[in-house]
Amino acid sequence: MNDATIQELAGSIKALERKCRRQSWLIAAMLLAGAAFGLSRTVLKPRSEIVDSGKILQVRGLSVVDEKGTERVYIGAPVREPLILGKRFPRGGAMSGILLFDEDGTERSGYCTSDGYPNVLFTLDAIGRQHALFMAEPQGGTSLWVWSGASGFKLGVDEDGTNLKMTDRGKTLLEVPAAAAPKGGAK
Amino acid sequence: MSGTKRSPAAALLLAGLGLLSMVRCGGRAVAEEVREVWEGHAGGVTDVTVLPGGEQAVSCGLDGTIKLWDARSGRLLKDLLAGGGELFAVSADSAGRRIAATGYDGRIWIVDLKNNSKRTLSGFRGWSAGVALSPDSRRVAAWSMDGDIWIFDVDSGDRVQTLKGQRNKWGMALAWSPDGKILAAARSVISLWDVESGKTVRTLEGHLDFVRALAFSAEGKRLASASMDKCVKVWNLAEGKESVALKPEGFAFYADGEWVTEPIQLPATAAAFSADGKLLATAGADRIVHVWDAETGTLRKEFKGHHNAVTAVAFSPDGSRLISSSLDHTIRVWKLD
Repeated sequence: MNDATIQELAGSIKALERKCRRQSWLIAAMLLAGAAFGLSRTVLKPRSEIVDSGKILQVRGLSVVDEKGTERVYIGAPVREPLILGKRFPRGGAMSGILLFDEDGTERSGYCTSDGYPNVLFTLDAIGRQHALFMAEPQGGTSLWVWSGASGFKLGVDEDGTNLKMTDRGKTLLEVPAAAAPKGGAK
Repeated sequence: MSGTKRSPAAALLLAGLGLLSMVRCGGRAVAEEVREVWEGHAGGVTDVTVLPGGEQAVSCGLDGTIKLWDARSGRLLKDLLAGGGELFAVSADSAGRRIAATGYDGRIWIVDLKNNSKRTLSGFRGWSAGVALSPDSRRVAAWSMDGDIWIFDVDSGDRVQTLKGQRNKWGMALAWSPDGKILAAARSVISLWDVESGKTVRTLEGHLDFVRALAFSAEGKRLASASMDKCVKVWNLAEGKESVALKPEGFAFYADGEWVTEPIQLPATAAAFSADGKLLATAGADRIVHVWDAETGTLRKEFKGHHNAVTAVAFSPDGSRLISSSLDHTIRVWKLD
């Protein structure tokens, strides 16, 4: 191969390299433009359009079950009657909110509002028996009860102040403010 | 005794962390018992009863089915009912001709086992969590939410009697005496009703919470009651007094390949006498089937294997086997020999 041929080939290679670089820049620019366009479609979308494009699920009840099909979470308005060890008990008043169930399907906790009177409450239950209640009443009175049998305490606050009562096996250990003396008591 | 306070969930977590020896401080490892398992319900099994003769058994469940089983082989023979909503209780007559079942939709199902015909009775307020078919199959009793007990004539479907209870003091446990003259019904206080006169002949007080199950002994002189107050009692009906009080202890759970029992007490849901009246089987939220000497209250056996609360127990007529239903969707058969 003579020198002229080598120079001709070298020129062709350089020309091809220039062409390849131009095409690379062109592809990169196109990708960048595409990405910018996509980004603008999501980030710069009008807020009203984002809200409207979503789907709001409207149901009266939603049940979450475990792998065995046992209901573990229920959201409802109203919620159903409590299932305790395989039998339903009457709730004694309609409630709406969220319930939690143990692996037997027994109701153990609720975070609900009352239907008919606007209390909001949170409960923790043993099997078949409530043991903790945290409740806010519509006028602002708020209370926490924790009990087991005849032992427990109640801590409350309302427009009259704070109150606390603690009992142990039926005997009052602490009561603040102190219970008012019964009228017509012993002299 | 910190172990006694440890929850099963915490125990499982500790087991997962390799602290198994700590887990067992509060409980005792036990061996899994030999058993048969009947599977077929697609939800918790809420009641089971062995039909007279011991050849067949009937169960109902939260899956809305009533199932007929071959009690010898454990083979599911057929669904007597499907689509019944949540079913809570099933009861058979003394000849095995009919069964009655009740559930959340407020209907009482009557199934004729000879021709598999079905019909429903209804009309009471709310639903009844308990049902009892009389031994002669002519009457069926159910609690109404208003506190009354309704008795229907099975053939006509008419309500023929209302046993007036306390207003809104409904219960769930019902049982007919073997001679069909007395109906036992309980909320926490047990009332014995003379069905013919419609009057209470005796009340049995002692339970502090809902009674979930009542069972007469075969001779009709004793009544067993299992309560949410965690106690099981045997009552001497002639004297109207408690003769045995049982407080089953232990919550069984399966961890790291072994059954472990936590020494806690949980609500009782089931009680049944053996046909000879010598044994009493009980069970409940503790997942354990206990077998006691019905006279002395001495614990004879414990069976562990259910993975959820046990809802009912029944002896085979020959006393060789004990059947239990559970919210783990299964029925298990325990050999007593």
